[in-house]
Amino acid sequence: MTMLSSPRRPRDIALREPRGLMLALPAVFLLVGIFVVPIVIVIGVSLTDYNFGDSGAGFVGLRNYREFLGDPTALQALWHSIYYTLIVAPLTLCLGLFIACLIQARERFRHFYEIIFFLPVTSTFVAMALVWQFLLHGRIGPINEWLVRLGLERIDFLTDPEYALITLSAIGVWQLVGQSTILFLAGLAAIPQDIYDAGALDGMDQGWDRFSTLTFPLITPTALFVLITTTITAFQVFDSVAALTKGGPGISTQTLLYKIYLEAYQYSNTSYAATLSVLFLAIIFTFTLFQLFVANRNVHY
Amino acid sequence: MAIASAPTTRTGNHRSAAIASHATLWILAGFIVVPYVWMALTAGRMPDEIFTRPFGLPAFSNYLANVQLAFGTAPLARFMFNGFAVTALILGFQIAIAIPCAYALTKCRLPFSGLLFGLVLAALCVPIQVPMLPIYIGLASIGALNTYFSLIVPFVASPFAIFLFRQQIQSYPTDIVRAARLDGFSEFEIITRLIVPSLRPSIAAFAVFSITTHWNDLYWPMISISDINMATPPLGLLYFRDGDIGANYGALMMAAIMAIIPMMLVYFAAQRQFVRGMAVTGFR
Amino acid sequence: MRILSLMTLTVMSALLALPSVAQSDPVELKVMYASPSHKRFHDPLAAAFMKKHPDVKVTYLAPASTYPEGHEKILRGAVTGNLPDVWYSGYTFVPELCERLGKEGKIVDLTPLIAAEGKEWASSNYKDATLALGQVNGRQCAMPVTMSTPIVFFNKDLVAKAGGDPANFPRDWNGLIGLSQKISATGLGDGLSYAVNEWGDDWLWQNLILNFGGTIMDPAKTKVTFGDAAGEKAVDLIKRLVTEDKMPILNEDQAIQQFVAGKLGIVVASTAEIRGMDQAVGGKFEFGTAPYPKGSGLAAGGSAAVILSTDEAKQKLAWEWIKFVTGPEGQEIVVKGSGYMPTNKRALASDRLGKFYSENPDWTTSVKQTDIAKPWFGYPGGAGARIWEQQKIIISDIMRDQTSPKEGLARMVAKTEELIKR
Repeated sequence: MTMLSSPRRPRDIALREPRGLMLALPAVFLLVGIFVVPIVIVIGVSLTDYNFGDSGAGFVGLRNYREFLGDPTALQALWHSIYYTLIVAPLTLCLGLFIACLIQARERFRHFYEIIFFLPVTSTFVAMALVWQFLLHGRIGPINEWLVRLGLERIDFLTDPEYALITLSAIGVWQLVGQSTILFLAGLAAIPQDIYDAGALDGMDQGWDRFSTLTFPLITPTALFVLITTTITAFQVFDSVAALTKGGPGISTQTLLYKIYLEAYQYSNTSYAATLSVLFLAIIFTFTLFQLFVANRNVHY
Repeated sequence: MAIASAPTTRTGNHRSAAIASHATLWILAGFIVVPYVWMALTAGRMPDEIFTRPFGLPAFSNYLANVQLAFGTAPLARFMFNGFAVTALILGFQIAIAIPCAYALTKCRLPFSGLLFGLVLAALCVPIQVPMLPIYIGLASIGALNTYFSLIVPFVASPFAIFLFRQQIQSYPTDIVRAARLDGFSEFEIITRLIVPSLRPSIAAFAVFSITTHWNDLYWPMISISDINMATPPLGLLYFRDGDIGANYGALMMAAIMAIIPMMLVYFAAQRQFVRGMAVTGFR
Repeated sequence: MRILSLMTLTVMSALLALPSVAQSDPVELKVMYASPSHKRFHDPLAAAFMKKHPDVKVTYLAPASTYPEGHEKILRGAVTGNLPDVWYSGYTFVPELCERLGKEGKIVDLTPLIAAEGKEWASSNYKDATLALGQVNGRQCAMPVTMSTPIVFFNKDLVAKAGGDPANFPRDWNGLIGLSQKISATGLGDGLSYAVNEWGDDWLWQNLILNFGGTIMDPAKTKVTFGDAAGEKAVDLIKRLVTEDKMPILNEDQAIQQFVAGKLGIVVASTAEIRGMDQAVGGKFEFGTAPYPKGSGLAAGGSAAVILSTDEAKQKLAWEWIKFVTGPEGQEIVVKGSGYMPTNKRALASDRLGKFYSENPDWTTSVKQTDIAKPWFGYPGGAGARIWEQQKIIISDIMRDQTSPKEGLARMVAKTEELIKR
């Protein structure tokens, strides 16, 4: 898959110019209207004191950015997003690779496994959240009943600030592991059988040896792609926060995107929300560029 | 696809390895499936059984009662209709806008085509939640919130669609396009009669990706919709949970099942395209 | 290509036109309320009203999950012009709402409308004290629709099994905590929940302060006053609830869920929950209600209706609606569908609530403690919703031993003053 090969400009007389422009125009118009102009506005507003509803706005330079640096709740929100991502991305990667390797070596039930592990990726998260909040209820949830039966302490999964974010992260892994499994399966399928045959001659026919010396180096590009993709997805976590904790208890599960949502659409603090959005944009933009680069360079399906 | 196990004499060893890995997979799959099983069981419980007998198999009649409750108490059918309408409209616009653009980028001599492609790539890197802020303000100021229009407008131009189709059209032989032009085909005819048919697999992959993304989206409906009748399934479920029926877990679970079934069907019907779309986008 | 863009244009404009088509139905009155579970009585209200006024269609907007969220939604809507015709504002937000929207002429002054109903009308329907809940700067800005005080719900079975006497339920915090310990000792469930830190608004917190004889701010609303002895008693009590009997740290909904599941002995909640609990418990066990622990004051919870429509015909209609909702028939529906106390005197007539109350004494617990009810305080400065966001974080810290009660209280006062001034 070569994604980024630069657009070749065909010097072909038969290629018609003005019509081409007409064809591209709706897209250009909309891309500018939906992406370029709004982003310019967001950056502009972040330099003002505009709040939703004001009739005018004053230029305040970087004041909002300074406010962000001195705002413990926003810094915490950023940290929560990072924390969530640091748990979800590596775990999803490792588990996905592990599961994919197990499935890859098996022919029976392969299809069945693929379907099962992929279910959470397609399922409407809010619907699943309704189940999770029941399963994880601190006092009457079945998971806690099982814990008690096993002689363990109950855990207020979603209402104890020490556990809430970890719980959401675990749900995040549950949700995304199928995605990384499928990507790894595709990556594994691309490894030529000869390589394993050759390895077998050298005595590396299975187990950890084969994995560490043969499979892993070959799967690294896929792993990198999965890592970045999962990082981007994890960093944008919103649904589970909105549906399960609303950022609580306290602000212990407020992530950056949820904070933006609150500032922009609950409190109408538009300029501050714009400032946080610029930060969010910068982070995601960087990661996605990196993803495109990696996809272009290394991954061949 | 699966790699045949390497030839070896240690067959016994292999068999136990196979059993071990199947066992591991079954355990892991068990974790994945727990919420679904719980959902299916609870959807058949009456309110008074939920806590008193949470484990046994529910009676079939309870399922029917809860289906009735789910559709009767909240406008669940309306949510689902909105979901279908919105995903279909978004997909329609995305394809109708992206294909001509992708075609122009590859098969026409376009001024600033490098710049345009750069724009597409840049837009691909933008998390859509950022431009939503001004779009929300714009929609609010023209009084267009709470409409289908507001639900679809941030998504009508998909840089990903342009990107994906451009890649595909690139490999479409330019000679055929040239010949078609000499035969008097208009550009529109070339697109509809030659390009679109050749793009079918890509369109399918993109469609599956787009439909699931927008059916499941919560962020934008939560912002742009405050009228229950305009809610899409995820937002509707939240209302449903907090509302009247919130205490009736059985009916709530039934509603949740209704919301995930369409996407499961899409997935079963188009698994291959699904995987392909995901391999390209990373599904975000 | 032209066909395609034409199609696009047509579809787009058709989509834009959708809402205006929808509005051309019989006159539509848009109403918004908070607490989605209160659909239970809002829907019958609309049905009863529409039966009398077939030319009117009452539609509810998506309910706000809490009063603060609804309040912010309304303030935002005032900017975009996307407002319901009627909104039921939590009492604590009525002053802020009226002052802010009043300046822009976006909220209807109800004083002349009441006057137009004739001399006797107001006094024959409402107590002066009730009407006062909706008055701001001497004007009637909102009409009280729901009224509540916090009461104690208890599971009679669990209390009895713990050796308590349901008929002689404790009336003070020491008694409650003692009973709660006994209940948890049975191993059948938790003792008591006072979910002050994760309540949707600051109502339970304000109740503690008022109950211990304190005030939230001085009468001129310039200085935060809950940092005194009353405040200290409140934070100490919160701490005791967690340390002396492991209070489950849950939010409002979860606490009620646990209670109706029969796994929680005692829960302090609004009287408005009686009907919901009754339905959810569904006869699995018997529950009773008891007054809030004895003290010197309570914050009257609930909401009052404001008219936000700028259209004169709609305003008239909205007034008809409010008169109905706060009238005897409307209030009967409200009370029986929730457990709220009626805001209308005539609703207490024996053929409406009088007989019902005498047959259901648990529903009168709240009514009996109204003599100590005080207004639910509203902060000045327009940061009402945000103040609670910050206060509850500190209360959580106190509960979880992150900060001492005394230090936490000082932080709450400081944070509140900071937000008021901003």
